[in-house]
Amino acid sequence: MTDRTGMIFPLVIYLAFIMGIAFWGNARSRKKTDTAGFMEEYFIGSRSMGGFVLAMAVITTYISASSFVGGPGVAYKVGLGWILLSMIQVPTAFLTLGVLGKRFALIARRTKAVTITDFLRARYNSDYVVIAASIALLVFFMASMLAQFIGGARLFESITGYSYRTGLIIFGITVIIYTTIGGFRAVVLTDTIQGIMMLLASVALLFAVTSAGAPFHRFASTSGFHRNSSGRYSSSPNSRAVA
Amino acid sequence: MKNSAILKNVKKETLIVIGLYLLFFAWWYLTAYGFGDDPSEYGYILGFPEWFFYSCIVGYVGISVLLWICVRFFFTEIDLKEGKEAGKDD
Repeated sequence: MTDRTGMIFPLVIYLAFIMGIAFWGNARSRKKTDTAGFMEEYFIGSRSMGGFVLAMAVITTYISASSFVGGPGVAYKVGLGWILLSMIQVPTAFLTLGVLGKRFALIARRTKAVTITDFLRARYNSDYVVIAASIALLVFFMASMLAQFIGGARLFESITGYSYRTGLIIFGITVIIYTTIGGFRAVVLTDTIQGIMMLLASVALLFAVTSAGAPFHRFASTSGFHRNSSGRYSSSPNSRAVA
Repeated sequence: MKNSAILKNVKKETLIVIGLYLLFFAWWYLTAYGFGDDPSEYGYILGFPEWFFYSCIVGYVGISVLLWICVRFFFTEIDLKEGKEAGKDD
């Protein structure tokens, strides 16, 4: 039982912290009384976020449940090929920002667009485009959010020992409340905090794994190849005796 | 900065980014598949297979450095507050 409370205590503090940020974000956007000001503040934080915050938001967007829960498992199972596959996703961030970033920034300000859908409305002036974009957004975000909720709930289940369903409900309610109440500013702030935490945790994890007695050549030896006297690996079991 | 100058710059930056992407992709592909298919013939660097070391580790660090250099020296800061009229085809 003490084990459980030890695990749940930080979780409760963390959820309370997130809620606190949400209410702070809510109080901030309420200061903007007129509707246009409120929309800009609630959805995009009055276009006032800096580079570091953007970087952290991109990190938390790309690093998801699959990076920490599903991905390592698949990588362990299928090997380095999985990592090769994930490496080609690296350019997505800089390609998107580099090609679309400034254009979006300029044109969104000119057309006062707040979301991508606003942007498409200004460009095509067509209800069909707006409806299609909204439906696509809903469908694909549902698919992507589903994976996050499942990942979070599975993690909750394995750490606290409570049921998967309980985890799902707690995560769902927390996310819905803090995004609805807090708006963009709160989401970006929690993104930034989580981005820093994930970055530090990943570095710590790397050192923990490598110092826990698994130097890098273990990665190769798990696939059944052993180092022989010439410093190369071979699949022959006899080469072990030589080494 | 005038609008036309801003747009010209945005186009230049787009070309740089696309160039870097093509470079990254070519490096990623050629180093990943160019070292041969036979695991018993693999060479190893720091315990990683050669293809993995060059493709995933050198490639990643390399593209990060290149991106930093390009953003630092070829990208220009634009004042978005004055950019409200920018993006128009003038």
